[in-house]
Amino acid sequence: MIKTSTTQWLIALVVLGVFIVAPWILPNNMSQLVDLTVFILIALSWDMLGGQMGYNSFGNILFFGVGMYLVASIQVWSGGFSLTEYNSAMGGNLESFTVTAPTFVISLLVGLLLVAILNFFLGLIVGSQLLKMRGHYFAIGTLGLGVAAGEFASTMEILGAGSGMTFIQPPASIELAPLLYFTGVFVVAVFFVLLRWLYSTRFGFVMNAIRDNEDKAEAMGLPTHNVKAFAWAIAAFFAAIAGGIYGSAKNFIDPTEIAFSGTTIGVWMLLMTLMGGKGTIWGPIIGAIVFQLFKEFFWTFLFGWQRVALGLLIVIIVVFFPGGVMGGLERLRNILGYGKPSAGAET
Amino acid sequence: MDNILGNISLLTDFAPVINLELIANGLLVGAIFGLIAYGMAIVWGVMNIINVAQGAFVILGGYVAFFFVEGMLNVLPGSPQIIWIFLSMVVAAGAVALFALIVFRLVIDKVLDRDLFVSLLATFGIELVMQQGMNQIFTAEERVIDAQFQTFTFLNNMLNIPGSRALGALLGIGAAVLIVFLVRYSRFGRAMRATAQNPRAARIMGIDTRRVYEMTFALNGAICGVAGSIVAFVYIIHPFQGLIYTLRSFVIVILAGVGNIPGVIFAAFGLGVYENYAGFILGPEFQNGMVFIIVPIALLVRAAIMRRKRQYLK
Repeated sequence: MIKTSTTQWLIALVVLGVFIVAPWILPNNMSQLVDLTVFILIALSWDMLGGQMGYNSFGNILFFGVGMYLVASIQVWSGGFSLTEYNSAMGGNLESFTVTAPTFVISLLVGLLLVAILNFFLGLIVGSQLLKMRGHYFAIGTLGLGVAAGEFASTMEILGAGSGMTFIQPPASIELAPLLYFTGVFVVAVFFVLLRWLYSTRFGFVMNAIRDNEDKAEAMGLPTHNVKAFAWAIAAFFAAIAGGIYGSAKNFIDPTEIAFSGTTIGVWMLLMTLMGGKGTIWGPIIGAIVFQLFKEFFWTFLFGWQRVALGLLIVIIVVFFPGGVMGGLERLRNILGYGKPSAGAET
Repeated sequence: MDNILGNISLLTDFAPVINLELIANGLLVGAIFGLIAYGMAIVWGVMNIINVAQGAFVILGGYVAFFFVEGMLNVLPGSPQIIWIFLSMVVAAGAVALFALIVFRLVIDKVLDRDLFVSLLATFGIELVMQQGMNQIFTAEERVIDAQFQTFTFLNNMLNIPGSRALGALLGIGAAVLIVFLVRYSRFGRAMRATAQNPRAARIMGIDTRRVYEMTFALNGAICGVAGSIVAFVYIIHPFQGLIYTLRSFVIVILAGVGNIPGVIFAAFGLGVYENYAGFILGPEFQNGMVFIIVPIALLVRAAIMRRKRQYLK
């Protein structure tokens, strides 16, 4: 139930402006900024299902990982190398596998788009089957899928098996971080506009109807099954781009720790959404920013204990602040007396 | 592909005794995982909570057992280790049960009547805290109680069964039987089953359901403690291994069907045999993947069966 008001668009533009000038304000934190765009992407894509449709998925990491591997593979192919040779040489003479600067940039950008489209169809296929399950069975089924994908990826020789795979080295004339950052910001902006539009269409309303009561929505004759699969496919589209950017920024793919890491990024994406407030469009964005701040804080000041702190953060948020930042704002507005009735920001 | 076919023909034509070894190993592994899954199934069935921290509880139990045995051997050098191993099960059960009680009071109590997804995330957070905390406190070194059991051999050395695994499986089955009797015949067990069936009616009948939940979670902790002390001398104890136990128990409970407690035992043995066969035929690196891929497949099959009755897995 989102009205496109001018103030909201103005805020969005201001935020976009801040994001565009951010590299000049924080020139030493480029890798964190790239991570931030990735986090915003995956949080928004998770919220499509988890927040708007009520399907809590642990499986979005599948598209994240597949996207990462495919972008890396496309970049290797773009240089005319065979994947098997490239991966068996890994760690050794990577210098012999170089590409020219234009090839690198074009293969990265085209690769991201191509991979996103591929994952769109993957999401459609997987979703049309898995989304037959509901509630927590869906959550568990997708969890199994994500973990299994990581295990299988670590058996594939062509993808470097358990020792992972590196991205092709960027040519010296290219600064990778700003390239990835601005690509990320662009995709986030596109995704944001798309979601604003989507949630105001009939499609978005059907998604909300599925969340509120799927049986009734189906009884009303709404095409729930198609909407669910299609929504997941869109989420997969952007999750794959996020995976490609993240892998490229880290310059290394580990099958279970980075690509299909259901226990870190797979959970962070829903944690970010919960922190910001699920079921809202600003929630995931705010959540990703807050989460990234917390994460960097923990990693800097509590080194060694950072993951313990992260676990505590998860527990505290889930138990005490299920509505997140947006839920808190809503409550504040209600207390002050000029709020609208809560639109299901809470579980 | 040839490789796989070759392995299958190895099973059928050349060495039928390999089948026996695979089945025996599967059953022995299944007994330990079955015990852990049993605790998870009880918590899931009674409290409607999926305890992701299950594996971390097991590892904690393992650490308690390891340090208990080590400490006792230092205090009383020369004493028979096997006594301390048996005692360590009791100590670990008590310690983890106490820990589970604290966790319940602090966290679980507050997510009980919320969405299942919330409790899933909350217990995941607990798992993360425990895993990383144990890594910091006990270091990432692999610990194992070296009990030096002999290996039993049968059929002209063709079938080998390590004594530690056999003892572990026996103890696991023993503990499971004990709990079955507790749930079935004790007053607490009856209250537990009543709460599982209908918490509201149970409350009207004067059962303090919150107390039942608390005790159920502590019982699960005790089960994990026992399982952990078994794992400590059969396998190894390492802080990051917890999640494997959680996921296996997940798979077992899902295969059995939530609320189907006896089914858990069959599912555990079945999964043990299945993963041994999958590991043998496809190669050991596929073993874990084949275990986890069965979760969505099993769920999809059940969803397909239910769809024919116009029902859904909820």
